[in-house]
Amino acid sequence: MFKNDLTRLLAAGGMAAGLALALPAQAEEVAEGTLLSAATIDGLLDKTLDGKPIRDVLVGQQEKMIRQYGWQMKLTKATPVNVTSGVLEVTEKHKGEASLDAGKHLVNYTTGVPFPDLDLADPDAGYKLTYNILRFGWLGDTMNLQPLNFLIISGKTGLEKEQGWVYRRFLMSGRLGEPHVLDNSISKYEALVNVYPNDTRGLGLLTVNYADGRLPDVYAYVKSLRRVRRLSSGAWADPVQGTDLLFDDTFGLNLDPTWYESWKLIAKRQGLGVDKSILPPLDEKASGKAKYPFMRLDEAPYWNFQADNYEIKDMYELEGTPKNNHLVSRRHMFVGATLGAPKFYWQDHYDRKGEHWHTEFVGYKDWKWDDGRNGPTVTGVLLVDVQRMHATAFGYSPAFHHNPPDAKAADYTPEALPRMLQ
Amino acid sequence: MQKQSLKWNRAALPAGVVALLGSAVLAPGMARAVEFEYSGYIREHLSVNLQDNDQFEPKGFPGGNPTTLMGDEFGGQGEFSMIRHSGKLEASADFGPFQIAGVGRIARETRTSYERGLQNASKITPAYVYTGAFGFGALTAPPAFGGFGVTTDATGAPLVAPGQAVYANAGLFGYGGGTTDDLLLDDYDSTELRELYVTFSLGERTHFKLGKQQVVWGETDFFRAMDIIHGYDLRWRSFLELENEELRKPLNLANVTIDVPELAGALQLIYRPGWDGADDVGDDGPINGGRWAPAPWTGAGVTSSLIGPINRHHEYGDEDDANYGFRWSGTFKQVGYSFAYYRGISSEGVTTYNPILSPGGSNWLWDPKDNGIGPNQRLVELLSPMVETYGFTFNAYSGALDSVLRGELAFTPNKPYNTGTNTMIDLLGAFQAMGTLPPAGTPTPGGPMPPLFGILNDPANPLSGYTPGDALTSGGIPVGLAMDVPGLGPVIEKDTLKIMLGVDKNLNWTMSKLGTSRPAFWTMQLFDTWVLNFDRDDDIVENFGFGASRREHTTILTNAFTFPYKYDTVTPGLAFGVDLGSFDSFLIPSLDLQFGDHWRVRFEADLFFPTHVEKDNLGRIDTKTRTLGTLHNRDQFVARITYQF
Repeated sequence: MFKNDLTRLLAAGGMAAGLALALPAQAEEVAEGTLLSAATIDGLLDKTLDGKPIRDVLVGQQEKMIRQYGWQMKLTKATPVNVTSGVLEVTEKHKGEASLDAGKHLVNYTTGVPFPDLDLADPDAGYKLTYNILRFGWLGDTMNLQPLNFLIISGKTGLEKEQGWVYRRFLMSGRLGEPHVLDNSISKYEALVNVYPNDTRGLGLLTVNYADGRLPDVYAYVKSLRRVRRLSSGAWADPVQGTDLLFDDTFGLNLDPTWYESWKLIAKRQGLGVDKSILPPLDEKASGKAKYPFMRLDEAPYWNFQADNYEIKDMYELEGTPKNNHLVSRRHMFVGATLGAPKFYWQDHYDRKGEHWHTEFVGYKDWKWDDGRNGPTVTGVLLVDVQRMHATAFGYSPAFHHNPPDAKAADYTPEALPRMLQ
Repeated sequence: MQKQSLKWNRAALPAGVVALLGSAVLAPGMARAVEFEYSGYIREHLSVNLQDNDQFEPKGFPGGNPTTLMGDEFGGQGEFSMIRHSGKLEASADFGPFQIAGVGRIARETRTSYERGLQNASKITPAYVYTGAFGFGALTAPPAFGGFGVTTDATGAPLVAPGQAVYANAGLFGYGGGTTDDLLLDDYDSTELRELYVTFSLGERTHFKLGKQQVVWGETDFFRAMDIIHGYDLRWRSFLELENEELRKPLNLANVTIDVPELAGALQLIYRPGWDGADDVGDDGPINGGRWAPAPWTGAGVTSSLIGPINRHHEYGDEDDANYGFRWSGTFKQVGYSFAYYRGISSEGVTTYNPILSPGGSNWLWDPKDNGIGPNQRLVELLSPMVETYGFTFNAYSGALDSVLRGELAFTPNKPYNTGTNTMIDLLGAFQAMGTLPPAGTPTPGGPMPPLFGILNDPANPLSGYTPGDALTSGGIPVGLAMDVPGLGPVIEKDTLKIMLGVDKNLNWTMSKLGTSRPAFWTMQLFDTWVLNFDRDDDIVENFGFGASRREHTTILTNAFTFPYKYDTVTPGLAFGVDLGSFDSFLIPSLDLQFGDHWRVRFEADLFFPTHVEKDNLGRIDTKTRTLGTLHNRDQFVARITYQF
């Protein structure tokens, strides 16, 4: 009896020792803060972070961006994704109300995550995830982001231009706070006002997005003409003036899901993303490039952020297929899978020929909102055009406001546009 | 943009400032941040003539006699027509409950040799005049007999018979530019506090903007239907400067907007108390001579002479009178719309003539007040009448056309027009009426002074019929020196409707076919001015001083394209317009370049293709020149270089 037990123990020990001997070459855990870069990637691909091989958690074109374009990641142990206070409660309260109609429009929706239980086998799961992302105030019922400085960067020569913007958003339905719905026909208002450089200063764009998938109403206040002009509603996928972004790229994704041909939820997996950014904000008091301490503006290809903390996150792999008049043929996205925090950690866009065209990165961190909630803010957006070697980026400012108390829907009218920058 | 946050507190501010800012801003013990921002530019405009100006430039006096002029064409092709240096500073301070903002602009021009030629001509204001029986005698009689001793006509040939024309030196008789106001080149220089206003809100819905500012209504590009609150300064750049905020003349206004979200709209109330300078209302047309003077009036300093000074204190259009209006604007079923009413100084002027010129007097009030000039010396005055305008606008996106549709109606009842497409002024008749020449019957060395008429072909005077070359009028009255000045008939009032329909479209195909970095923008616009109850017999002139009669519909089609390349840093553009009645047209190719955040360069060619022009000079008989025809020989190549901050 004793002998048998001893034999078993020895065998188990031997197996354990054998495993221990066999694994280290493939599965050594990286030290906290290890830099994943073009210089280190070959040595790190087979190591693990939180026990997961790094090669398995690089998503989309991350490896290409690291190897070819100087992207860097500081590998950090995963922490829980904090969900905005109140999100889970209102989601639970309104669970089961929302549904999709035959045209894939969101109907019977009040607030909360419209489809908290996503099933990969559900053919509509892609649409449902997209509505979960876009129609609920998990990032704020209202936002007032200023200063918001876009950096327009050539991958060959460096910083070309800066554009100063004020971005404001106001949800009219799907609001986290009470009342949850102010107008159930409108999903949200957005206002984007240029403050720099001087020739476009005062240009204000107002977009009225409807809940039923109609194209938006778009107005522009053109300060040099001192009047509001109606703009095309059909320009929602056009390039944003002077930048690499398309209008439906702003803040990761900005559209009605029905404007695309299809949405497909491919998988649930794990990938590297920035959930608790450690990068410094915009430094308004500094001048020149020192205003942007979060960027590596002096190092080719000039568009990269400083190495930030990347953690392994649960992600949905989502594929959006635009209609054939869109510049993009495929939008391949990796979206946070934590209920109530569908963050756009990473996405790659492919041109009409199916070739990699854009990579869009969004970083986040936890933030104290103006209404006292704990929720995320966006710490940086970078959209790289790998074909033209060009990029558009912005960081964050301590002055960003989520759910500011003075926001009101009446400020989002064509009549109010000229007041936004007087 | 530069930004600076200042921490101010009560102790650090003078008592008067504290009082001004009020306790709402600086509550006891409270310090708050005042956000101060400024921005602006320094700019050079350069333009070069692409054509010779073929109008008459006086170069001397035949036989040394200063009464008449000889000369040739201005020429000027390849010469600078503008070297303009300007700077603008915009600043604002946000005090929290209220904001103060201001805009200052300074412009100075280097006077080019071409412009000096224009100014020298305007001082003289050569007038092409036909000699009548009396005029021939007065011009040719030796000074000893009370005449001027002129021996050559406008062509340099001997002046031997009535009917021949001469270039009269109007300046010799006080009708040259600079007599009553600035010479034209001074018009181009300015130092202005263009805007200074305070903004604040009362409650959630009522928003105030008080002070010198610009308020623009309407949906129209290039032209104006409801953009009527302000006049434009069209002297230095005609209508061609890209940003019309640079051309608009700001006014002191109370501007209150009341949000009415229940009706998806807002009510805007405008009140102009009449605190502006007289020059701040109405349009400033380029009629003091200069590079944009309408051909063939290049050499005429009209507004700074006794020919036609501007009067902004006329009883029918007084800058000091209050103006007011309102606009309701909103959206209904995704269609943006507005209704507006404004009672104010019209940006479009009308000309009244001195009643002494016609035995019938003037049917519109002659009410000269400005400049301390005696009423009997001016031939005409230009005024901007008070009119009422009712407007409606809409804008909408059409999915079927993938275009924005916009439109505008502006109805002005009783809008005044000048009439008389073949009227002429008899300068000697005018002098007689003013008392410069003796009254009829006065004995002179050549015999008793005949009666003369001030206006020939005067609708109010059946005896004044005249054809150039005649010695006498149809009534047998001797003619002095007759100069073609259409528009001296009675002022007539007509209800007028301006109609604009426009389409704006993003041309997605330009990205793949032309390689633009985003879709090209195309805007097309039809602009019609419709004179209601039109009667050809009213004989309305399209423009005062030009013989073309106004049409019931004056319709102009414009198209403009911009093609953004390289992330909007290289943007060629093309604009063209055509008068659908006369087929006069213009074409403006342009190229906008951006270099980083600070440098902007624009190249532009302004090309005009008039079908009917008068090539010579003020006074030559003209029957066909329409608005775009007045831009004959004004083709320019323009470079605009801006450093902005």
